[in-house]
Amino acid sequence: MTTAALPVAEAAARTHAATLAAIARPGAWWDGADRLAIVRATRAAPDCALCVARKKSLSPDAAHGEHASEGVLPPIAVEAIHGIRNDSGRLARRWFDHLIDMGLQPEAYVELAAIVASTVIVDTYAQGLGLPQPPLPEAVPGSPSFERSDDVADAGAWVPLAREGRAHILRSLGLVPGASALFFATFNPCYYMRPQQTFAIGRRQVELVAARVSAVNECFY
Amino acid sequence: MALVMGAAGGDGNVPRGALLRALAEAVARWRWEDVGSLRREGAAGMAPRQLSDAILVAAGFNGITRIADAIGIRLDAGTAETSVALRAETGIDGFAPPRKWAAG
Repeated sequence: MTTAALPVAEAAARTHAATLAAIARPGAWWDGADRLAIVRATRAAPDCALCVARKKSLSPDAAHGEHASEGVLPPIAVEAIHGIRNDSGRLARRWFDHLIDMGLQPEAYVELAAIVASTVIVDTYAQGLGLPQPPLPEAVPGSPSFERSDDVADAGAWVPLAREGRAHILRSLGLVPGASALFFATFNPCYYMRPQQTFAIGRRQVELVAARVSAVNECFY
Repeated sequence: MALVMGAAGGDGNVPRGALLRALAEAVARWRWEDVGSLRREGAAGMAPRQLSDAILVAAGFNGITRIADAIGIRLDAGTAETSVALRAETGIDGFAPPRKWAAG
């Protein structure tokens, strides 16, 4: 049964278009074509047979095989993308260490995580409204900047966090400032990140939705 | 709190709480047919913009929970101190087993 789409919030529409345009440009550790491949891999992840088998297993280590992939990205990057997209509640330090041992640089991982999570926001919003996933722009040619912040500190996470910040989540992507800017620009219209932010539902309703999504995703934070 | 954890019915003193809880869950699980049904159900008592904003919040938290889990961040000290009882009541600590941070 088809359902009429709901109205799109203007700020979100602007932001999400800007997010995809930003992803298409060269980043810090991935070029524009790679970054768009990360988006496509995120979108393809729900249909990955290995991920479906892992999701059904008591431990994600129990199922073995290869991820569904278009073959553009290194397999270890696809592992990271599918893990974050499909089974984020069960990600563990041992899994992250394996990615690094297999050659994925922590900075590249941080940027990848920001792209995956930004894609999740953009696509979840569109599909939740009854709209198709937004089309992707063409990749902008150019090389990565290899930007890495030195203003970071060990806060017990898997990667160093930005040294300053009100909360760990706001510091989480600080190792690659461009990745942090990308993700939080995408996330900001979704919550009370700025004093002027308002929603058509009340604060208690916003908090209920936020808390329920966190619980479903088994996120402790 | 039981409403958040899915252990209670009713609205939990939140306007349209039961519908919003179900909508949040359906969006988080990417169950689009359920989302469509809930949009139709919600249209009876909520404005389209309200439903749209609820989905926007859900979409945002579908993303930010993935950042928290993918980076392996720990709870902020201040939050940890002030939420001991809440976390015990809800079982949220079960989402952060020691193996999440245990190396190799």
